[in-house]
Amino acid sequence: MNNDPKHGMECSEFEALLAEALDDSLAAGKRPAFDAHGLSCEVCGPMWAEVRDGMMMVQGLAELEPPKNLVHNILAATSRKEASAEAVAEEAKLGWLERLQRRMRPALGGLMHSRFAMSFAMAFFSLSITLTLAGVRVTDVANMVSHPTTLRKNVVMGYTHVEARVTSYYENLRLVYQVQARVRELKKSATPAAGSGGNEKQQNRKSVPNDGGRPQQYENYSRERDGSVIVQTYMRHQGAQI
Amino acid sequence: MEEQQTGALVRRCLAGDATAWEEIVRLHNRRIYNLCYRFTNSPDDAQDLTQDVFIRVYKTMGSYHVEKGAFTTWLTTLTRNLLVDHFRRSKQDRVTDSIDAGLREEDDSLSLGDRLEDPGPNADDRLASKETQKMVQAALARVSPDLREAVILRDLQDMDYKEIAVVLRVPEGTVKSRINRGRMELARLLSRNKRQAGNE
Repeated sequence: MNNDPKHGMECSEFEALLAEALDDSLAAGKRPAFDAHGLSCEVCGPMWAEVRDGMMMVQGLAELEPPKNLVHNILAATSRKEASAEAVAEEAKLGWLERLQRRMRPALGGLMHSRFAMSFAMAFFSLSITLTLAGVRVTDVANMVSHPTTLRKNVVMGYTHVEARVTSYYENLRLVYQVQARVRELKKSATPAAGSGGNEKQQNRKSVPNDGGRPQQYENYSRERDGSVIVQTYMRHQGAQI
Repeated sequence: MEEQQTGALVRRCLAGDATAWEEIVRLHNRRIYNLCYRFTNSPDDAQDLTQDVFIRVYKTMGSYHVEKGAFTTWLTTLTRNLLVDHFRRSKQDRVTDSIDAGLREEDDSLSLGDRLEDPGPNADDRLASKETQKMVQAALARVSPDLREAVILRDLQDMDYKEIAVVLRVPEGTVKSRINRGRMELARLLSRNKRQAGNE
């Protein structure tokens, strides 16, 4: 490409006018000079042909058939959006109570079935009769529940009552253990003389040689809390380790 | 005439007529799909983008006013914006030459029955035509995006400079320049491909 004008047109100007020439929108006065330059210039001529061929090839590209499910998918997607947008708009108009009711409706839907409703009605009726016969007034319960201060007082009273019962139970238990321990001490202090005599007898018996190799029978006496005597008998064989 | 029809459909659609919306989708989905395919060179992307375009149109149809301009131009502008977004998003994993896409296009174009019944050109001609189409599409995909969109809008969508200027939001002079450069780039790529094919 050079800058020498051929037929009154430079190559840069020719290049700039390519698009208009290809689209047939070139000014009438410029067309002869453009064509003449294209025919005479060894650079612009082939370039013109290549660009024109390329454009025709692009224009000759076949129109593709969209996938068959495309329209269906678009309509499905937009209808979903429409449904959700309508739901949001409708919900925005409602108060909080109605919105809560709407959200709870699916959860409680099954319970509102006629047979369940009848069962609930029967249960309520039975409960109310039982409470009436037992002398419980619903108004008292309602007052108790409706006033937070009353409710708190009842809770505190209940807790204090339980605590007092537990404390007194453990106090009584401690007294019992103390008495038992004292009785045990008294018994111990009363028995030492009898215990020491028995030991001497045992020592004397041990000093006597056992000549027959026959098992000897020993008896051991002890006194229990209630004063009864328990005799423990056991066999001892000479040489056996106990 | 078509614009008047579309204008009436838009008004009906805005009034809540579901059939009007369906009509709009049926009327324009092919053009939008082709525009997306020629730009992305991927049938899957083209399908997803076409769907996105119509969802966007559905949501923003209230902002379109008939007196502002043609519905087709507005729709093309919207499509082009989504294509630009998609181009930016997929910059990392873009593949310039998709053999798979070409094969799938080939598979999708005609069923076996259609091929047997097709009274058109013979098999060799058809194969040559398909090869040429693939080559042109591949070359188009390699043209830089700014120039490619201008060429597609002009040579495939047959829009005039003024409409393209509205869609691309650039002056008409820039549109001409881009179309010119785009065609030249495409011509260079095609002649290079031809030379390579001739050498093989």
